[in-house]
Amino acid sequence: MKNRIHVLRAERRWTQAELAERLNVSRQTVNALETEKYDPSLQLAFSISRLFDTPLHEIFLFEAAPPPADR
Amino acid sequence: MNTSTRLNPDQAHRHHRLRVIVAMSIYVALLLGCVYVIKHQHPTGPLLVSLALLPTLPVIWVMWSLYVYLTQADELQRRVHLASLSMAAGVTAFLTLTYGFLEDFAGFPHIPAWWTFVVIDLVWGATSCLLWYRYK
Repeated sequence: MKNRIHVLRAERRWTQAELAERLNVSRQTVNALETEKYDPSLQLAFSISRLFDTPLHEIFLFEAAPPPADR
Repeated sequence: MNTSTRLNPDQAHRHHRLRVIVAMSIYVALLLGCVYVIKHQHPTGPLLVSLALLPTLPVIWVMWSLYVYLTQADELQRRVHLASLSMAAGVTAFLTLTYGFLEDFAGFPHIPAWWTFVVIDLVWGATSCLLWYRYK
C-alpha cells in the first residue's frame, strides 16, 4: 500500500528515530513503513493518523487490483 | 537490569540482545565447566544429574528474556520473530524426523538430542535475518 508517511515526517523535520519514538515503534519499523514494505495494523495506522493530524485516506493510498479485462 | 519499566521497542531489542549475549556466555562457561567435572571427577547420582542440567539454567533466562522482549516489541518485530520461530520449528521438526528415520532404519550414527537446540537456533537466526532483509 502506498503512503505519505515520509512526506509528512519531512514536513515536520522529524528524523525516523523521532517518529519511531512518538509512535512507540522501532526505527526499523518506521523505515519499513516509509519504504512501503510493511502495511501497518489498523491500530498503528490510526496512531499515525492521529500523530500527523491527517485523515487515514490522506496518508494511505489503497490501490485495488485492476478489474479483469473484458473479453 | 530493570525490565518491569516499559521500554520502547528499540530499547527492548537492545536489552534482549544484551541479556542473550550474557546468558549464552554463562551457558558456554557452565557447559565447559560441567563437561570438565563430569569427565575428570566422575560424579554419580543426583550430583551427576544436577551437573548435566546446570547449563540449561541460562537457557531458561533466554526464554524469559524473549518473552519480555516480545511483550515490549512493536508489531513488525513481533511478526518477524514469530514467523522466523515458526519456520525454525517446522524445519527442525522435519530435519529431526528425517534423521530419526535414517538412524532407526538405515543405521546412520546416533546424534544427541541437544543438537535440536543448535539446529532450531541456527535456522531461527537465519530466517530472522532473511525476513528483516525483506523489510529493509
